[in-house]
Amino acid sequence: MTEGLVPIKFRVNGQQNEIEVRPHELLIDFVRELLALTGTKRSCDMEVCGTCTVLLDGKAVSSCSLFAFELDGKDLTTIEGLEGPEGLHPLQKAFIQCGGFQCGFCTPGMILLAKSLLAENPEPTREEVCAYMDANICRCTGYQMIVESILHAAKEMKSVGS
Amino acid sequence: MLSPFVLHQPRSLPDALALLSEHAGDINVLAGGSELLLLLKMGLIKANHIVDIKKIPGLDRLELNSQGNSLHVGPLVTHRALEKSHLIEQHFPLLAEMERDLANVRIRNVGTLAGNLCFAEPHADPGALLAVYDAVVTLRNFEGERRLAIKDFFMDYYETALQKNELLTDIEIPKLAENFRGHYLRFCPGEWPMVTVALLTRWTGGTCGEARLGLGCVGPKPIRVTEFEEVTHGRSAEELTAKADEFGAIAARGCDPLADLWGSAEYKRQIVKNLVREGLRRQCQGRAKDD
Repeated sequence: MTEGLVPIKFRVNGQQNEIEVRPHELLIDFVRELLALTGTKRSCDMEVCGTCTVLLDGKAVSSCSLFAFELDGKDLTTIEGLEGPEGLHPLQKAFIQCGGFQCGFCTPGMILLAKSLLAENPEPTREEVCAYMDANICRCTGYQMIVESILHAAKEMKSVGS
Repeated sequence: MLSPFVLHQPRSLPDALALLSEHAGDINVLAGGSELLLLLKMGLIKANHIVDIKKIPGLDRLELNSQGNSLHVGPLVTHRALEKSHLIEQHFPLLAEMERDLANVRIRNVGTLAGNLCFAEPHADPGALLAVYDAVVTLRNFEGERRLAIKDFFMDYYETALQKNELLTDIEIPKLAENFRGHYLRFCPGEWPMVTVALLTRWTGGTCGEARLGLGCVGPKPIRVTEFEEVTHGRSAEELTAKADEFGAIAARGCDPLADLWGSAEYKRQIVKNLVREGLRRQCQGRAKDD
């Protein structure tokens, strides 16, 4: 039984952490306020829009609808964790190159969702990209440029990998 | 920010059941949380205790029974696990198809099938499909367990037969005989489905020996349409195809949809009729005597 704080151990963007959280604290508030990783955005607050998408053990989830204590034992990736020593992630580069955003509010969620897609399916067809990305909402781009960005990144990642 | 609560993370099922009994009425179960958190945030449910069952081993059971004729789904099995399982793809392709379309991948990654049933959200996918499969749920409290047919589990909008001290510990889905054909059809203009239709037909040559029709989202709970099942029984594929419109209308009369943001009751009935007609015609294809 835990009335007070819950001790949790987790990794965030590659770094090991141990901390205590309040049971009723939401993951999104923990990420934005305590970890100060404000790239993760809150919008609908009901698992529909996808702006708050983060990766837990590589899987896309809505951080608005998980408790912070559920991080225990997990590996958390936020948009801040994508840039490596060699600069921006190929998905980030592709979004810039192909114009995959306008206002940018949905972009962290879109890129993380796309990352989980490419991890599962490195060479998706256009239809597969559309079906998977259907989870997240963008109100600016009309989606075409987002789909282009992801297809472009998949091609880039393949040529780097090979 | 949510209201504070006492968190329990038991390591065994008896411990979880003891907690449910001790705090009955003042405790919520957390598995995936995709339904629970929505309702907590909206203030529709409130409890001073939450029991997180994710640390209990064995509750993620997903396997066929020893005879190989029934599937068992534990309360921690996510929609995504069902969607990606080779076992489900091979033996329950309709279930896999339903799971692929359910909500979005973020929700499927965390949400569980059991949780979906327990919250009895009227606009949900699994109910109609599990109804035609004649699924059976096991509800357990600290004293013992009982098994309920899915049709007796759902009671009303957001209401099930689950008692305050019980946990849904298993969903059993019987395998269909080889000569069944099935379709799961849905109309979903938004995030939640407006109408769901699950149709199974069992064939001997060109004759339909049995039909099972489940409808979801068009009333307080998922239903089977007995009148449809009776009138289609023993009919030939030609007859069913010719009268698909009429049988669709029987299905539409058998439900009780509410008018809401997505459409009037009449509109939803029309969708039911169209989907049932479509499903029936597809299932009759290639079943005519001359084929």
